[in-house]
Amino acid sequence: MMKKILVIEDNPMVIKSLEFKLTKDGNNVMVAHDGREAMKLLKENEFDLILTDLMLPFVTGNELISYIKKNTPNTPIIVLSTSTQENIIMDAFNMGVDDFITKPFSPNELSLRVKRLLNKN
Amino acid sequence: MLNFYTFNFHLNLESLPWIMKLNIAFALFFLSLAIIFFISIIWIRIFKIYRNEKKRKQQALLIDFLNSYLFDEDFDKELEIKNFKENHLKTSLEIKVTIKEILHFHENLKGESAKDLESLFSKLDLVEFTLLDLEDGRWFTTARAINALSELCIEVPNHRIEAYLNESRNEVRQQSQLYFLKLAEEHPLKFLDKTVRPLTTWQQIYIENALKNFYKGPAPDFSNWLDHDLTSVVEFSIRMIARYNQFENIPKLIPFLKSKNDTLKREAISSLANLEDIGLLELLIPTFMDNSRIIKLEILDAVEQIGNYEDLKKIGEQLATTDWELRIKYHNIELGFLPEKKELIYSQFMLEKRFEI
Repeated sequence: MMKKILVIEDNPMVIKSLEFKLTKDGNNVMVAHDGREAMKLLKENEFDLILTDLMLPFVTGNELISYIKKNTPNTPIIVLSTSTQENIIMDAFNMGVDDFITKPFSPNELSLRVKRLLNKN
Repeated sequence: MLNFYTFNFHLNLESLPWIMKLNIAFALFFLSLAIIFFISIIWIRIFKIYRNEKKRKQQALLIDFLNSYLFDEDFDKELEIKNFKENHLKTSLEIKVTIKEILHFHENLKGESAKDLESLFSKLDLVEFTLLDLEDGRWFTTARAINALSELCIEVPNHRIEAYLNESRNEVRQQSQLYFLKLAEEHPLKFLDKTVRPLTTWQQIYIENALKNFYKGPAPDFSNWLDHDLTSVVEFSIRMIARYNQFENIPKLIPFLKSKNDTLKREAISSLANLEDIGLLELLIPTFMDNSRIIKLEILDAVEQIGNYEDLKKIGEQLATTDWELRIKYHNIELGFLPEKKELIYSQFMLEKRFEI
C-alpha cells in the first residue's frame, strides 16, 4: 500500500528533489511550501510520515512539530534542516521528532531513513 | 486640405524670428529624446520579461532533467545528456542557467548525488564554457567561474587560477584562494607563497573556515609562513598556530614578542596565551610600560587568561597612568582574581577616579 508523506519545505529545488525521489520509492507525496499551508493539509489529511524544515514562513517548524505531536502523536517526523547547532537538534528531539537530517543531505540516505520509519510504524 | 495647412505652416515657420525657430528646434530635440528614452525603457522591460520567461522555462526543464538524472534508474543518461546538449545548451543564457542550477543542486545535496552532479557538469561540456568565462575580463564573471570550479571540485591546470591570486579585486582573489583550498589533498596553503597582496580580514576568515570544513588532508605547518613578506599572512599564520594547537611552534613565536610591528606582537601574545605558554608573562611583565597601549591591553588579557593575582600586582606597581581604559581593565581583572574583595576594589577604584590618583 502506498504511504502518504507530507513534505514541508520552502526551497523549490529541495521540494522537487524530495517529491521526485520519494514518489520513485513508491510513496504518495504531498507538498506544503510554508507552515500555514502545512497546517491546512494536516487538518484535511492523515499522513504516515512528515518531513519538515525548521525555518518556514508564517508558522515555524517547532510550532508545527508541537501541533503534530498534539494531534497525531504517532505520526513519525523527520526534520530536514541546515542547522548543525547541537541545541537546535536537541530541542527537536526533545519535542519528539524521530530523526534529524542536516542539509546538504544525501537523498539515498534520506530515502533509507524514511523507509525505516515507515516500516517501524 | 492637408497641403494647404502644411504650406501655411511652412510659411509661418519661415516668417518666425530666429529665436523662435531655435526654441522649436530645441523642443523637438528634447521631445525626440524623451520618446527615445521612453521606448528604451519599454524595450528593456519587454526584453527582461522575455529573458525571465526563458530563464524560468530552462529552470523548470533542468529541475526535471537533474532529478531524473539523479534518481531515475530508467533514465537513459547518455542519450538524454546528448539530447539536452543539442537542444537546450545553445545560448549563453541557457548555459548560465544550467550552471547555476547544477550549483544550486550541488549546494543542497551530498554523497553520491553530489558526485553525479560533478560528473554531469563535465559531460555537458560546461567546464569549457567556465574556462571561457574565466578569461572574460569582467571581475564578477571570473569570480563566478572560479567559484563554479571550486564548488564542483573541477581541477584545471594550476596556472589558470594562480593568475588570479593577486588580482586587484578582493572577490576574485578570495575565490582563487578558496579554489586551491577546496581542491588540495595536501599543502592547502601553498598558494600563500605566490600571494603578494595582503589578506583581508574576510579572506582570513574564509581561509580558516575552508581549512576546517573542506580540507581533509593533514594540517599544514603554519610556521612555514612566519617569514612571509606580508604582515597579514604572518598574522594569520601566528593565529592558526594557536587554533591548531601546534605547540611545537611555540619557540618560533617567541621572537615576535620583540617585534616592532604591533599587529604581529599582539597576535603573538594572544596565540601564546591561548597555547598556555608558561614563560610568556615572565617575558612581558617586566617591560609592560615600554609597550603601546594596544599591547598593554593584550598583556592584561594574557594575565587574565593564564596568570595569577601576583602577576597582575606586578603590573599594578607599574601602572602609574591616567589611562582609564587600562585602569578599568586592570580592576576588572582584579575583581575576577579576588571576587571576595569586590566591594573594596570597587570603592578603591572610584576613589582613584574621583581624585585622579
